[in-house]
Amino acid sequence: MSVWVVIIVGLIYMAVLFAIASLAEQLSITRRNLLKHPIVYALSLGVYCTGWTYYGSVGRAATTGIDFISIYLGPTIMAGLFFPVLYKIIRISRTLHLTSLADFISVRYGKNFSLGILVSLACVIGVIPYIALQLKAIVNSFQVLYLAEHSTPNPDTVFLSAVFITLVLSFFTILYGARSVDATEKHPGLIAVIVFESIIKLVAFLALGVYVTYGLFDGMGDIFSRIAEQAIHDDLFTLDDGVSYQGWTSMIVLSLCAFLFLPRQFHIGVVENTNPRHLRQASWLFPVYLLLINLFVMPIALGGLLLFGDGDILPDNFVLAIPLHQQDYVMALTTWIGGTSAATGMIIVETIGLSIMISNNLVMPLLYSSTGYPREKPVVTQQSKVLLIRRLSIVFVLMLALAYYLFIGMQLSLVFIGLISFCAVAQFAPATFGGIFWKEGNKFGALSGMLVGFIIWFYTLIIPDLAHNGILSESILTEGPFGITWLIPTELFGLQQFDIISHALFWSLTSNTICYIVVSIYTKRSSQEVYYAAMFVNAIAKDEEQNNRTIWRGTAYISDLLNLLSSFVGTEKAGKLMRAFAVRNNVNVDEEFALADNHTVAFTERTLGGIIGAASARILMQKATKEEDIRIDEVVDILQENKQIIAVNKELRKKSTELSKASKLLQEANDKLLASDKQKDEFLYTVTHELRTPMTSIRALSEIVYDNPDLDAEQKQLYLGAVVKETERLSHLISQVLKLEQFDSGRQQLYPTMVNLNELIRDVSSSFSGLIQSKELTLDILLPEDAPKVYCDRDMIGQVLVNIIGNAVKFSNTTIRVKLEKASKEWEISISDDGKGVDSEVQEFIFDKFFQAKNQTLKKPEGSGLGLAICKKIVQLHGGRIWVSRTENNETQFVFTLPDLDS
Amino acid sequence: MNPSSRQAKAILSSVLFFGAVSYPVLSIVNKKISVAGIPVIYVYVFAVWILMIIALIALNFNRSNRKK
Repeated sequence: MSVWVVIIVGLIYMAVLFAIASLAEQLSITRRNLLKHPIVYALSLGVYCTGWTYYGSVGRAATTGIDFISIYLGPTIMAGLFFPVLYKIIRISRTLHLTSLADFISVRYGKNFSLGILVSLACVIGVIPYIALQLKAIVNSFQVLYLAEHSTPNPDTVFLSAVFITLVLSFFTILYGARSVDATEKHPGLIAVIVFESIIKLVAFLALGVYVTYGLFDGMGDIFSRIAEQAIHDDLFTLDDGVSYQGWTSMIVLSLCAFLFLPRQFHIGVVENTNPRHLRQASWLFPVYLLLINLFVMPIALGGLLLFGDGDILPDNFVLAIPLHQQDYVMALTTWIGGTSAATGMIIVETIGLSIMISNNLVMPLLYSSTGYPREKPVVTQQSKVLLIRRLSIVFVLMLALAYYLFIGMQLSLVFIGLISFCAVAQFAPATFGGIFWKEGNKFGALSGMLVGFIIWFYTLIIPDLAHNGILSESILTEGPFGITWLIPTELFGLQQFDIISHALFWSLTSNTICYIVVSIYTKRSSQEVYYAAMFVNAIAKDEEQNNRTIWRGTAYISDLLNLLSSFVGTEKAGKLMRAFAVRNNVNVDEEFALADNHTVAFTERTLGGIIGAASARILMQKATKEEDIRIDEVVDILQENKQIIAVNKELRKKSTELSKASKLLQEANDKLLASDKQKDEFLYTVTHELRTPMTSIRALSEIVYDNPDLDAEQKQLYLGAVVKETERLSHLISQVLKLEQFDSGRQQLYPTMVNLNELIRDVSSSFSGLIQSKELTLDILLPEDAPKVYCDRDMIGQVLVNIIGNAVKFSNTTIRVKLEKASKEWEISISDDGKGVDSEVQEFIFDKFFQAKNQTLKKPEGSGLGLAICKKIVQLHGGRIWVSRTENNETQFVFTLPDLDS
Repeated sequence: MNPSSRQAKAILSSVLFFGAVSYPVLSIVNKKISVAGIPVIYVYVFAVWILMIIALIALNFNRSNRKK
């Protein structure tokens, strides 16, 4: 395979990256939701897997076995902690327009410049070697392909390819990572490329894994057992006791911290996050990604060992050497592209993250504090100045990485450099975790903790490295500096049991944490710190922004703020931003010389912070406005007030929901009242109507008798008999109405006793025996053997029975059946007859008052029409139910229930 | 599931996972035994890893919550 093929494929791949980035940039203008998806977010987090994963893991697996996997277990643990930790950091960063970890830490500790500088410097020193490592991975992989054709390595190609790749990456990063001046704006082109590269590296690595495991060998079991047969690699199958466990656990802790604090992870995970809710899907998608990319590491490593033995091929190169050995050039090229994408993705994002820190926390604060706020200069220069600084920072970072690689990093192993970087960024853990969970943590604590941590990091990791490379005398590692043995960098204070990384991590992180806590406890916080500590720990949401009084006192003119903003984002956009803010918060910003309130000042500072970093924004604000100092007790007051406002708001919301609940209840009660009023009217109308019918006939009949004194006695007797009957009916009706009224008003008293139901039913039935005989009906009474006793008012229940049996007798044709039976927790008394029955549509109304009267289809009203209504009231008063239905043999069945005391 | 109980469960699964892949639990499987030809520690770490992922899916893959 010619080298030119490799170069052409590489160039085509670069061209594809540029095409994807510019396509995504263009598309995102019209389709804003293009990249706002949890899968996109999860895949972009895959930037965690670098050339180290791709080449280094296999190398490590082939030399020390399974411990390569520990640095992927840390991020998986973090995935479970996304909500308490990462979600909080994202929310704070969005609210305050924070664009880097340096900004995050310096703002948390009262916008402290020194902290921002310290974090930025530590990142640059700690991470540049890591970027160099990726350059090394790309160049090495190219060399492996080059050597497949040429027998001797050519140093020129190493140099040329390294420089060429650096230049292309600088160009790309500037083009798509430093496009606009607002760093809080997302970079869709960049994200599209990172997602694309994440997919490519995963697919390429899985393809190689399948190729090796199932193509060259016969599955994983086959590879493992063949290695086991050789018996020289037994140590790969287990962890060594003792030292390996410490190393394993420290790598888990390191990778957990690195996942949050590496500049590229913070940039992708926090700054480029489009929606914090994507964390939910990402929290399982990302671990799946990690698992997949690690699935075939061990088989590939062992496959390499089987193919090459302990030959002269470096384990770090197995990934490429295997397909080349098989002369499968397509597979080799695919693998190479995958490895290149892993390395370039890391370099691009890491460089952007670092360049933001360098420009916002190192260059710009120095620039603005020395020259002052340039009022007179034309607007455009500020914007282009910021961009220029950002772009120069990118070039600076990449050149530094290139120089490191060319002059120092050639001989280091991939994994070791990576772990040094991990250990450096782990020093941010106490200040960051403390910052979001512990209000008392202050800038002195953070500063001293991180300083101590970095000094120990440098002493225990970098000094030994320099000694190994001959820059320092090797004696320092055996005898200690100046012969002091307890200061030997790798055995600090005589701690000998740990490997070098665990040793460094243990001393740096514990002393860092202890310093942070102890110093924080014994020093006081400044007023700014008190305010931001409360804000970070409570993670105030953006929509609660108006509720919070900000701490700022002084005089500032709207026009000054607008000018300041204009010089960084352009006049048009500044006006737009300001007006949008004014509308949101009900502030007047149109008057030329109006004084700005605290919110507007804070808003301007936040927006500026998004562009040039919080530290520089602070300096500019101090210059553009007249600030007064705020005493600490005032800040405490303001925080108290904010807390109270939030509490009052919560209380108000609660009250208002209660109120609406109450008014709903009131409405329902009112509706009920209106309905019952209407019922009352109807009742009154029906009653009077019912009373008038017998009254009319009484009057008519008595008038006839009165007007005709000469009527014969027989006829007179007939008329008077009718009058008496009508009068009886009238008085019956009146007594029924009175009784019903008693029930309705609740004045009806029950006089319950223990009643034998069997006896009661028999008594009532026997009172009908004459009538039943005369109508030639049969009466079946079905009663349980053991007579049930029920606690009820005997007279009233008797009345119900009389009423219903009476009705049955009235309508029945042949048979009446009375039945008493137990139904779960109550006694059920049913009376059925084979009469004309009740229409199914009226079944539910039959117990209403005067149902009969209102239903004039019935030819002649029989009874008052109140009987069943009274029955219903009585049964309900006893806690039972009453209803009518039709049985299977087409009988009408009235049923009522009485609660059983025993159950 | 309300957010705070989901959060507590997620934290718990992280803690359990950390415990499961650390000393001394890890030393139980750190032996020269093979399962279907594959070293037991290798099988164990991947199995625990998959369990953790399943737990995270169970906690976060929920359509009704996603709409919120």
